[in-house]
Amino acid sequence: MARLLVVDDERLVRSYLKRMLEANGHEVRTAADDAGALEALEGFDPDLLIVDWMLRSRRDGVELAEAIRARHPGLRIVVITGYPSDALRERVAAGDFEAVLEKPFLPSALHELLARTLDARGDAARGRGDR
Amino acid sequence: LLLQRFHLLRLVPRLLLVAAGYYAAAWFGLEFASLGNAVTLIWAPAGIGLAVLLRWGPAMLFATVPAHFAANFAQGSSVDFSAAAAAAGALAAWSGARGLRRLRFDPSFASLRDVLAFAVVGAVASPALAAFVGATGLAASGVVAWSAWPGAFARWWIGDGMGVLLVAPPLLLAERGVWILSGSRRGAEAAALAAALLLVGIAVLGPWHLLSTAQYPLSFAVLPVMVWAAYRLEPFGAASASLLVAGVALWGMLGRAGAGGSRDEAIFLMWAFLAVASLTSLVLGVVVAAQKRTEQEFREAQTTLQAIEAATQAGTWVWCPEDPTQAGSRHQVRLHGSEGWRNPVPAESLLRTIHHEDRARIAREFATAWDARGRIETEYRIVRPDGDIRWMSARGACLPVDATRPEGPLQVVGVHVDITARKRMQESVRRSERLASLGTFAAGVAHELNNPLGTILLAADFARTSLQDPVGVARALDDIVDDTRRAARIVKSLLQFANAEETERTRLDLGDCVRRAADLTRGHRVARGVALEVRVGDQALDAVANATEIEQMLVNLIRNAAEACDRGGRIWLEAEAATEELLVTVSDDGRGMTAVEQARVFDPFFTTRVQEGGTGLGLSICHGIVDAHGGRIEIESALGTGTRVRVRLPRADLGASPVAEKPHGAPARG
Repeated sequence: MARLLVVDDERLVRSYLKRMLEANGHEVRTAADDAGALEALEGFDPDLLIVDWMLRSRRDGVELAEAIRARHPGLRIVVITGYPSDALRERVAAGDFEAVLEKPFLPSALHELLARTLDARGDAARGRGDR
Repeated sequence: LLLQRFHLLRLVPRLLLVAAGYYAAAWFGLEFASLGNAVTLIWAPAGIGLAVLLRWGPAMLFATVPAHFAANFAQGSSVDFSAAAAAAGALAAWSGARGLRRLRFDPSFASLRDVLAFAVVGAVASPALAAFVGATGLAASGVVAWSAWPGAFARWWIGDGMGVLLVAPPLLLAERGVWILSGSRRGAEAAALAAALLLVGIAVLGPWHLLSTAQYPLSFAVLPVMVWAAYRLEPFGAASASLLVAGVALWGMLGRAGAGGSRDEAIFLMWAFLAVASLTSLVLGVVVAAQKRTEQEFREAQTTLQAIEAATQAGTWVWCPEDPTQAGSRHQVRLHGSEGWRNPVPAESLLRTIHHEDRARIAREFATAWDARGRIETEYRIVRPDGDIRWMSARGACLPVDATRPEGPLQVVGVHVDITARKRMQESVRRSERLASLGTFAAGVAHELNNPLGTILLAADFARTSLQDPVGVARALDDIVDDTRRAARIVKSLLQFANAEETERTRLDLGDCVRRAADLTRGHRVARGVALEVRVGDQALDAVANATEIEQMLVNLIRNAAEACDRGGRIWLEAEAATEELLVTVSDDGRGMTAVEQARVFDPFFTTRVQEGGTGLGLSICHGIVDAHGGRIEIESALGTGTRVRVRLPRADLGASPVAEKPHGAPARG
């Protein structure tokens, strides 16, 4: 099980993702914008960040994710967006992100992505432990 | 001083030349004097005196007066009489030249007026003065009796008049003559003319009575040759021919002096013939020259017009509704695609080439210009015989046919140009501009649409996996209903934007438009990494406007601002109610513009973003939209600091706004 932070300005998206992910046994916190995200990070060290690209805030999702990772190295990041664009794909390819997930998506797609991402993390952790 | 010396250098040889010529003419004239050795049939020096004074000024009197005196004295006249004769000649030449100058006589005999002035002042009035002084001198010095004064006066008068009439014109026209004769063909023709004139002249006027008798003179036979000279060689030809004929006639007269018949009658006949023939041919020469000049000017004007048309690809036309058979395009009818037409083209044929949708409008516009005596500036399509449709632009004005007679008949004149290429480019640019703004819109709409769809998908999945929890399922279904409605609203606004014909204006809150435009450009801004801050006051910003147009304008302004910014740039979008108007401000901290760019920024097709595919229509469309709403758009910018665009629109709550228009198209369906 993992610790997850969900940042999206859509209230319903936050609530459904939280219920769904909690049902799968994850520990989930949510935030609507960058200020909320920083608040949620107090005393919380997530393994994975699910962030909407277009937030109604000063920084967009990618900038916010990079800022959070500066304080939480090893954080995995999944960007979700309803605005598929080449510019975003380029920024994601340039940075160290796990994936872009385009809205609308089925929960199963997110589950698959999480399984892959968190497994990879587990492998890496085990690898470090073996040495 | 140098000028004076130069003047003298030219004056002295001129004086010597004139003195020599005058002396020779006077000496020969006196040699053949007919009356008391002092009055001559044709006194050539009178013509020389008038001509040199007209050409070179009164200074020539310093040559003519001494020459006159010397010639008289050399021929045996007394000092007193010689002085009187010289004074008479000087008086005639000076008064003649002065009178003609006063009348603005043109020494090149440009018009019939010049011929008339020359005949009246030069050949009649001034010689009368000379004759009065001369005849009085003759009587006073005892050469003739006082009783013979009237006869002496008459002969002196006529002799001097004939001298002026026959000798002055060739001298005045000498320069033109040199020019005419310098052409090789004209020179040969002049030589042939002189030969023919001498031949005929000697035959009918010479001393041997070859073809005429004293009783039945055939002198008129030289007239055809004189007409030929006048026709081909203009006034110079006419004047020279007259002088030649006069020479022959004088020779004949003196050669027959011993023969029978009334000498006075013969002399009178010769004078009358020479006076009539020379004046007639001079008039003919002047008329022919004037006509040739007019033809030449017309040809030059025609050539210039054709050159201008060829250089500018423009056609010129003249149109007059009162003369439908003569109206039409005079030149470059080929612009209308009918090479075979001959000018002028009937207006009806021209009208038939105009596209049937434009025909009535063009006819109306021309009629309006005609009625108002105003200008016309219009564009229309023509259909060429091969079916090709071309766009034409025409400009003209209703003007009097003769500019010097504003009350006279009128016509509409102007030019037309083929503007098809420009039209096509404008159209394609407009289309791509529309596509670009539609693209921004579509991306915004896609984002807005994907969010509710995302929620719907998540809620549907939740409901399916929570069937044992009816309350949860019901809540999920409610969410699905809500977000489906939200998606439908977005689709509707997209349709509104796509329907460009919609110009319906309604009372609306400008703040809503501002917020919507901010939402719709969000994707574009985020993609460019530019932040937007929206500040809309709490009070309603009532305007009567077309929401789609206002949003399109704001989207354009925000897009421009975002493109002027580098990553990390900021845009401020503010809307507020000022005392008399609503004010929307879009400012950015981007690159800004130079003063030159600012001045042109509302020009269609002006863009600072050629590389990025800017079409340069965005701001001109904004300008058009704001204009149509009775507002104003202002731009201020500083290079490196940023740009601020202010849009001012009338407040609906003040009643200053335009009344809502009726929609042009069908009411919106949905």
